[in-house]
Amino acid sequence: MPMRRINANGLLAMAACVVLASCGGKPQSSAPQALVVSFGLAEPKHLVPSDCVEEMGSDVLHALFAPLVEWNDKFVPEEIAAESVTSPDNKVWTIKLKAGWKFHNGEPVTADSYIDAWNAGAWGPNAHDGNNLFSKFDGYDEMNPADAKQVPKVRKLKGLVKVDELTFVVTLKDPYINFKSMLGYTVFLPLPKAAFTDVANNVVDPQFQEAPIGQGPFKMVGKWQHDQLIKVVRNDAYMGPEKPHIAGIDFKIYQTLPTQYQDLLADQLDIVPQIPTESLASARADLGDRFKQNMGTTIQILAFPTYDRHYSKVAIRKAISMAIDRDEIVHTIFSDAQVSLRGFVPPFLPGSRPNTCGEACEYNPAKAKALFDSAGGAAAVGGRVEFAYNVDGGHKPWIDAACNQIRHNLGVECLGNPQPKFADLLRKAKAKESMGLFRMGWIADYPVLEDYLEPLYSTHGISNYYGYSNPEVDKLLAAGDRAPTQAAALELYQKAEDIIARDLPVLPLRYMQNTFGVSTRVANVELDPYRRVRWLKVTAAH
Amino acid sequence: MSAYLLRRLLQGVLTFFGATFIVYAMMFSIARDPLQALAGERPLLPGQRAQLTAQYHLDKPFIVQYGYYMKGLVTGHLGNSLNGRPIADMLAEAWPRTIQLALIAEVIVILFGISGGVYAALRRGRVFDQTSLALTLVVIGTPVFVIGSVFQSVFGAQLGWFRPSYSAELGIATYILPAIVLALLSLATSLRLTRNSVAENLRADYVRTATSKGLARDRIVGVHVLRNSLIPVITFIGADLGALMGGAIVTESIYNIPGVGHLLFQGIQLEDGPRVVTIVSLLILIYLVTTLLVDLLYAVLDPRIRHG
Repeated sequence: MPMRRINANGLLAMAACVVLASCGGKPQSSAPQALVVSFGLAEPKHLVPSDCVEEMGSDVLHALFAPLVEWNDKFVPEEIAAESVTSPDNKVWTIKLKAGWKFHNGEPVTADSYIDAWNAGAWGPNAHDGNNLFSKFDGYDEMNPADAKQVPKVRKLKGLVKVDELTFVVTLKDPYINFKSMLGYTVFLPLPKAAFTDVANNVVDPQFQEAPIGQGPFKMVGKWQHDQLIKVVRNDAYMGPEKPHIAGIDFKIYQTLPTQYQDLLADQLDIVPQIPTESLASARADLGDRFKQNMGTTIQILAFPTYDRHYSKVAIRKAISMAIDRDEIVHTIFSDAQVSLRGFVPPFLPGSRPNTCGEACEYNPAKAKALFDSAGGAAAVGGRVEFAYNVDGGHKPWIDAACNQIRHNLGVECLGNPQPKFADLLRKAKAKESMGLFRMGWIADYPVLEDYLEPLYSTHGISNYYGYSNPEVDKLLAAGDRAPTQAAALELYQKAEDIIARDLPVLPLRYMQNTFGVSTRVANVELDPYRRVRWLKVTAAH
Repeated sequence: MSAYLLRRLLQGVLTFFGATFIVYAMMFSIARDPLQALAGERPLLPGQRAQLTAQYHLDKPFIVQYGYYMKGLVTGHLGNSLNGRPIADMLAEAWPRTIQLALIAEVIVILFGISGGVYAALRRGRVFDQTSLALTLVVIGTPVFVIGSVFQSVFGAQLGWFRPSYSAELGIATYILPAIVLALLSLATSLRLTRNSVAENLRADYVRTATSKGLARDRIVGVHVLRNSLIPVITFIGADLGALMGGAIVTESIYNIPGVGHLLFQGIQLEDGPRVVTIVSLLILIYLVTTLLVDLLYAVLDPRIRHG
C-alpha cells in the first residue's frame, strides 16, 4: 500500500510539473523532491490573514505566505520578507521590504500590499478576528468607534505611511518593545490588489479566501474544498532564503482527531499534528520512532472569579493549589504529553524563570490542609469547591482527578461543574454567576512574556474574564512595553509576574507539548511551538 | 386516488411548516451566544460582537428572526451560515454525499436483509437461522459508534482492506465501509422482520391451498408469500431511508464524510439556527415523500388496500 501511494503522489507532482513547466528547470540548492505530503487539518474558519487567529487557518496561510519576520528557535524574530525592521524609539518603526518578491499571480509585493491589508484588518466594520492586533497602531481608535453601530469616518490608519515602493513607516500610540516579534503573527501578512473589490473602502473580496494568493513557498491548486481538502504545490518563484524540498502539501480536512490517527496508522496520512489523548498511551508502541514530541506554548489554568467571595482569601486559593498534584495528573491522564506548569508563562520563553509560582504550586497536602483549615476550611468556600469546565473539550478526566485530590487532601467536597461550551463559562463569568473555579487555556499570539501577562492579568486584558485587577501590575506591564531595551522590559515584566504569583488570581496547571505522529514517507518534520510544521525543512524519507 | 393524494400533500405542507417552526423555536431557545460559540475559547472583541450581531439580526426578538428566516426560505435566499458561507452552497456540496451514502446503505439493507430473512424463514431453526438471530441481536444491541470505530480500526487501519476514512479523490469507493456500518442496524431489523413475516405466511391457509393445487414451491414463496410478507418490511425500509440520512451523524463523523450529518452536528455545536433548521426541514421533506411513496406502494402489493 505505501508503495502505491508514493507512485500516485509522484504522478501528481509530475502532472503539476507539466502544467507549470518549471520543475527541475532552475538550479536549486537542493534537488526538489516529488513527494506531496498530506497533513491532518480541521476546517479553517477563514483564510484571510487579518481574519485568521486560529491554528487551522494559520497552518495553511503560513504555507501560502511568508511573514515579515519569523521567530527562530530562541524566539527571536528574524527577517524573512522584510529587509529590516528598525526604530529609534520603539514607537516609529520603519519596515523595509526585500526587493523582487512577487505574489503567486505575478503582482509585485510592495509597501501597499501591507498597508492595504492592515487597513482592512483594522477597519472595524470588517469585524476581522485579528482586529485588536492593530489596537496599538496610531489611528486605530478612529477606525473603531466605541459605538460599533456607527460607521467610522476614518478609513485608513493614521499611523501607516508609505515612504517608497518597498518602505513604509508604522507609528504606534506608545512605544512597544515587542513590535518586531508581533510582526511574525499571521494577522500581519500582506494581501495582493486582487484580494480587494474596493481598496479605498477596505472591502476584501469574499471569494478571495477560496483561493488565497500569497507570496510564500507554496501556492494554491484550485480552490479550498470545504470540509475536504486544501491543495498547495511548491512555488518555484519563491524568493525566501530557504526553499521547500517537497512538491506540495495536501491539507486534508478532518472532523475528528481519532480519524486522523486511524489514517496515520493505515499510513494514509503523513502528518498528524496532535495525537488524540485517548491514543497517547498506545501511540508510542503503535508508531515507534514516528511518534514525536517537542515544546508547545499552550498553557492551561484554573481561574478564581473575583466576584465569588468564597475564594477571596489568598490562603484559600493557595491551599487549593497546593492540594493539586500536577505531576500525577500530567502523568496518568495525559501520558506525559503535557508538563506541569509552576509559573505564569511557559518556562522556555526568553525572560521566563522556573517556579515563579513558588510554594503555592508545589504539591504539599499536609501544608495545604493546615492552610485551608486556618483560613476557615470548608465553611469558607461555602461547603464545597467546584471546578467549572466545558464538556466539549475532553476536560472531564483531569477535572475529576483534581477534584479527587482536593477532596482527599483538604477534606472538603469537590465537584466538577460541567457546562456545554466554553461560551457558557464566559457567559456565567460575565453575569457574575457563581460556578466555582473555571478552566481556561491560553496561547500567546507571539512568543513574548508580555503576551502571556497583559491579556490575562491587566485590568482590561481581553482574556481577563475573572476580573483580576492590580494597578501595580498594570503599571509594570505598561512600563515594560515602553522600556528602551529588551533586558529592561523583561525585568519589568518579571516584576509584574512576581506580583501576580503573590496575588494568585489563577492556578497555573500545565503546558502542552506538541505530540505528533508522522508516516513512513516523510522525514525531518519539526513543529514550531505553535504546532505549525516547518514546511521548508520537511523531506521525503529514504 | 387523486383526492387522497391531494389530502396527503396538504397535510404535508402543514407538517412541514409546523415542524420548521418548532425546530426554529428549539434552536432559538438553546442558542445562548452563537458568536462566542463560533469564536471558541478565543476572546470576542466588543466591536466585533456588535458588528456580527447586527449582521445576523441576533439582537432581534424570536418572531422577527423567524420572519427573516422564512422570508429567505420562501424566496430561495437561505442566507449565510454564521461562519460566513452561504448555506445553499454548503448544502449543495453535502447533500449528494449523504444521499449516495444512504442509498448504498439502503441497497445493502434490501439485498441482504430480505434475502437473508427469506432464507432464515425457509430453514427455520437451522444453523443459519440461529446464527443470524444471535448476530442480529448483537448488532441491534451495539451502539453505532462502537461498530463504526471497531470496523475502522480493524478493516481500515489493521487489515488495510478499506481506507479508514473518506477520501475526495477516491470518491464513492470510500463510502462502502461507512455504508456497511450505517446499514448494519437496519439490516438486522429488516432481516428479522422479513424472517418472521415470511415464516408466518408460510403457515397461512392460502399457502396450503396453493401447495395442494400442485404449485411449485419456488412460485409459492417467490410470488405469493413474498408479496404478502413484504408489507411490513417496506414500511420499515421506507421510513428508514429518512433515518439513514438524518442518522448518519455518527457514521459521517467517524469516517470523515463531509455530508449533511456533519453540517447538522457542526450547526448544533455553533448554535447556528438557520443552518440547522434548513437541514432539518429538508430531512422532514424526505420523510414526508418516502412515507407517501410507501403508502402508495401498499396498494400495489395488496390489492385489498385501496386509497379512497
